[in-house]
Amino acid sequence: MQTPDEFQSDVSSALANSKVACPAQVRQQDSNSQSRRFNIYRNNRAVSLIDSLKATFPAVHKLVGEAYFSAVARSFIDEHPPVSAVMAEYGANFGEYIRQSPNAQNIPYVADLAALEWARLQSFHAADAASLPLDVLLSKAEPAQYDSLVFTVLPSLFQLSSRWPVGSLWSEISSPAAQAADQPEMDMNSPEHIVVVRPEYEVFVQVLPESGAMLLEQLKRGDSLQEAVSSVTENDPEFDPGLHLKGLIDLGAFCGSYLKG
Amino acid sequence: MNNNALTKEGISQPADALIDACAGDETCDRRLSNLPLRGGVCLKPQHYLEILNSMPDVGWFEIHAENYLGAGGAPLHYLEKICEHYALSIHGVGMSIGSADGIDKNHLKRVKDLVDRFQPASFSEHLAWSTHDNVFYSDLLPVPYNRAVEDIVCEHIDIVQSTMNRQMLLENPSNYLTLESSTMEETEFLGNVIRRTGCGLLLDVNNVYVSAQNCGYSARGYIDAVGVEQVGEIHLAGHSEDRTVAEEILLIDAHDREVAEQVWSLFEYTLELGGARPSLIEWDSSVPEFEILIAEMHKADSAADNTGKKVRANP
Repeated sequence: MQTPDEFQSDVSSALANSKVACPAQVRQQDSNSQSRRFNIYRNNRAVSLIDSLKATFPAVHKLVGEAYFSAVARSFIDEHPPVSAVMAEYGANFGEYIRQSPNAQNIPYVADLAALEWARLQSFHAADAASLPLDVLLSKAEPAQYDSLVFTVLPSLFQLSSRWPVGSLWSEISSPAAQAADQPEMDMNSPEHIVVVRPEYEVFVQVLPESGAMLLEQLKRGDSLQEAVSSVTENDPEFDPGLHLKGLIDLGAFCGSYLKG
Repeated sequence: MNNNALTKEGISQPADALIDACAGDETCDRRLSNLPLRGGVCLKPQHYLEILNSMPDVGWFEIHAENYLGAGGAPLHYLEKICEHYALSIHGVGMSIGSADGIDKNHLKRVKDLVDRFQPASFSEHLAWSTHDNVFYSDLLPVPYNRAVEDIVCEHIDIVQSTMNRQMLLENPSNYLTLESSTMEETEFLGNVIRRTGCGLLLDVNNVYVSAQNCGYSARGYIDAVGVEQVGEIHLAGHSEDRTVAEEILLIDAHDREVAEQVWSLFEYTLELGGARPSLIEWDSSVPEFEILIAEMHKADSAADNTGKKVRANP
């Protein structure tokens, strides 16, 4: 008699590869072929994992259409099966996989669009933290020490930069008015800096100006206000730190502050 | 795989104690869960706000543990709000109790933390496996019913119950096939596991019906054999039909529609044998308006009321 481990290895191989015959253990019961019965498990697995990828990447799904998405997802689940039962953690490399798929040459930005959707999912499930207004952030220091303050970002904050305007593309595709398989008409040759953040329970996607994105990047790294502002100013002499800082605070980007050193 | 210090004797105490406490007392409540003795519904994100705004008269809610294992965010926030007003059942779908590889300790820890945080009235899992060689197959896969598998399942239930320090309920699966290396019936296997571990039974009446149709046995015979006194919770759900071979329809446990008439009738049969149980309406795919779930729950409550009257009229 097969051991439980041998049996589960057989079933696993047959689930992971539709060319592998259904396990010998499946008892002949009637004229219903054994493989028809076993295929119910194959189908349950494929449908649930493909549905999970559709739920994680709705804009990619709309962009490439149902047939193409499902075909790529089907080979993805065989080559990169989940290791965890937590579906919110499945699909980190799906965007790169779909970019390299046979008919995706004309949508090189699909991996970045998927990265944005992945960031939204991570933000959705990230630890909670309250966004703080400027006066509270500044209250950790005397006015003379403001330059040495470090602002900490929410655990739900993620930053992306893309050669393509995937933040705008995502908004366009995700708007309720957008029809499935409607290719949005936009100039795809402009880079975008995007921040994803969840101040309460709703995830926001915001396109940032380049200098604003750089300021946030520096602050996220643990730079003090002065260090961050001088880095950005080197790049952009016209940089208005007050304006950009206010923009980030209005987005709810920061949940704490402390004095450096 | 066997790196947890376990005492089976210690774990079997709660169920035995419950049953012993009822010995000789006919009015004693033998329920194997602390859920309210009435209908409940599955909790879906699209219904969070409606539930909090209208506070519907629902017995209790059930969630899938794996959808609430994030660090924070809306799911945990709304669950917390809803738990201020309703009893909760946490139902795991990914513990892979039947896995020959052993229990994933990391996954168990995450589910335990969720159970510790929400203190649900019931925790349940499936008689199935879904993980092998570190791959999650995203389905409830069948186990053969023999002694080797029984030992594995008992060991894993012991680990879960001792880790969580509570009794769990084990759900009977939907079967689409039978396996050559089974040496006993599913009902005998479940009976042995319940006896050895002190866990309770989550009787999915739709699964019983689906399995009986697919594998050619009597659904009522299954209910008679399984021992309804061990049932701590009942699941009700809709199934679909695979008619690709017209003369041999297979039933699929789809959870995507209303409960079938034949399943309601099997549910009534179960209640007549064992009395009312906390009974859940499951609906996981093509999730309808909340009011449809409530209407199904009312059907379950009415069936329980009517059976109660029938049982009293014909003791």
